[in-house]
Amino acid sequence: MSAAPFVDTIAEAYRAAAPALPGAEQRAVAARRQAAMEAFRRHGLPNHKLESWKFTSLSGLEKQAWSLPANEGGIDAARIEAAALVSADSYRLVFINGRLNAAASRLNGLPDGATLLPLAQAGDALADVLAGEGDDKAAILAELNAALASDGLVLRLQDGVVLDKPVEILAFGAPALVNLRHLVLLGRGAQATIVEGYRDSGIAAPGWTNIFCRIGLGEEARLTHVRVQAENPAAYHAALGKVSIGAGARYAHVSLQAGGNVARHELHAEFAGSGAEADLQGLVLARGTAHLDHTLYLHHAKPDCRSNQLFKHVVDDRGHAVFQGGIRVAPHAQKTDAQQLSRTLLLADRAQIDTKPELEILADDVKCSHGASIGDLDPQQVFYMKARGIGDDDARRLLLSGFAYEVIAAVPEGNLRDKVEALVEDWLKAGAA
Amino acid sequence: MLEIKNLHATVDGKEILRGIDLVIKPGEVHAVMGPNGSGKSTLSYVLTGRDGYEVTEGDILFNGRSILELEPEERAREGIFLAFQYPVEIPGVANATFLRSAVNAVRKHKGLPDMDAMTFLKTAKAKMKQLQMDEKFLQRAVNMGFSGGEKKRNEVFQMAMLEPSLMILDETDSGLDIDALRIVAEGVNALRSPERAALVITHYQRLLDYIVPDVVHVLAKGRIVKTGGKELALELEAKGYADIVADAA
Ligand SMILES: Nc1ncnc2c1ncn2[C@@H]1O[C@H](COP(=O)(O)OP(=O)(O)O)[C@@H](O)[C@H]1O
Ligand SMILES: [Mg+2]
Repeated sequence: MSAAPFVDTIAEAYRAAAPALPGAEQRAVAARRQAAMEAFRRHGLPNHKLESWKFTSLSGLEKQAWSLPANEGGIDAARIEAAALVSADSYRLVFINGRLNAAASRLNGLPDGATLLPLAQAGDALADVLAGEGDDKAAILAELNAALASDGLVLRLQDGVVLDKPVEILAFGAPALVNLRHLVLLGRGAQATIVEGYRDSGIAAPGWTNIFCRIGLGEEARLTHVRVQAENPAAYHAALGKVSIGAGARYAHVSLQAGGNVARHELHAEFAGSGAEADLQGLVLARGTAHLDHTLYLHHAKPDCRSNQLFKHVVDDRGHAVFQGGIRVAPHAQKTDAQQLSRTLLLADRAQIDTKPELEILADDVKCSHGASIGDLDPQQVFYMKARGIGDDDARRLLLSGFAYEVIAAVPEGNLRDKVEALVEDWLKAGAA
Repeated sequence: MLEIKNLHATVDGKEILRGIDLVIKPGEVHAVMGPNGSGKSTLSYVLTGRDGYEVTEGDILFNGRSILELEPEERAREGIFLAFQYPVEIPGVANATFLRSAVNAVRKHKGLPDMDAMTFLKTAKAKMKQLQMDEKFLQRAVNMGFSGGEKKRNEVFQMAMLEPSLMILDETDSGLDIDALRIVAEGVNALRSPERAALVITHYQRLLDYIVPDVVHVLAKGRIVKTGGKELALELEAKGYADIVADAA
């Protein structure tokens, strides 16, 4: 370990990588990246002194020197196919070492009015895509991402365009610092399904994946957004998503976190118009010493919107799950319907969950509720299964998959849901072994 | 087949079964009747090995072998089936998935290969038809949102699929209307055979009109206080438990 402060080593990595980052030749882009790097350097990593980072520490990152991946790298085609979450009938962007792997990707055949690009090819739009989220330490990883983003997804649908196939982002962790930045903008009445998969490249060295994703939904737009984080057990993964939901639009999000050493998926969603809906569901599967965090912040800024959060956690060994669910209902956001439920099964004495609902309700005519349950498997259910001849391991596995199923069922039916279900089943089976 | 010898059992340190002797031979149907709280369900749980039900004295032999040391799943695989008084709801697990796991666990124990999905489905549908159950119950989560009667039917359906040698029915009649009772009883009767025995626990005589027992026992305060033929059930119906229990005391 070098004696230089952590932020300086990152700044050094930035200097080394900057000339090869997309948009390096554009002055506005270069200036934006430079400013973002300066902001990160000022603030450093978010830490427990911040309310929203009380339960999750990234200090492990400071124990090693980080650099950006040296090259594009390659991954076995069979491994890519095995990790894919959507069948051949999809658009697909495969990122290896933070760069698009064109050979494994599929971007052709888009309907009129649809733009689908890797960020590195965003050209003049790059400066916009890298636009900042403000000088806020709690969101400083988004600035780090703006400084270092090497690629990502840019999807734009014009009004009324319904994307015929899901878009899959398939990213493989690298033993380095990888920054992907995604932008999804749906025009009025446009519809799409996007699937983000962060998978294990098979290289067990610790990596650090830092994701920023911005989503804007126009009026009456529909987006289904499935996210799967199943990186290797040494990996650090931090993601921040910002979602703006237009009037009458619907955002359905399902997040599965089943890998990584320390991983956090933070999502801020805001209703930008009335009559909109958001369904946010998540499943955490934590074993070993995995620390997996969902931090949500849902802003009911407009009246007549409905939101539902359902997050489930299965924690074994010395795993640690975190669920922070913030809901803010603005003073004029009457007729808000906001529900939140967190459910947790702790399977071992040293398994942990920190669950923190945070409701700030400033309107009076609203329906809001939240609840949290924490427990072990129900002994009555276990006995019922055993009384039918089912052994202890199988009974527990069946009950756990039953527990997880409610979230899995929120994934669109078909090939994608089957894959997500198989991933969950594999995780459960690995525990029984 | 089943031999219960001087069985004493406690729940939470409280003695509930206080010396039960009972022998059931292959092909026989025994009814156990008794007032609420007499220990009928406790007996069924002790037989199936539920956690927290501790045998403090006596023994249970099944096919000549003590089963006290066997886990619930081992007893089930050996052929003991309990139709629960209160079937348990299991969210997120399809009835078919659950039952196929059970069928294959029992088959494995018998040295048989797994039943493939097609055969399972065909067999299950045939049995459901007998019990006048809609096939959609296969895809629904185990007992979730089932009515009381549907749950009881589901118990008998599971029993028909698992083909146990000892069928223990705990108040399978409760919550059933007369038509459902008849269908369920027919389902049980269809399973009666010279090799198979049944222990029918009930509070009311009504069920025994349909599943006619060879022997009737009256359980009170954790003891069998009277044993007789099927006419004992009628006597109980006429006189009520109070007299018989008092006579025996
Ligand atoms: N889990 C338990 N803990 C303590 N007492 C119990 C428990 N289960 C049953 N009992 C007691 O055991 C006695 C017998 O109950 P049970 O076997 O359910 O009777 P039955 O089925 O004949 O109505 C009752 O007094 C009941 O209160
Ligand atoms: Mg009872």
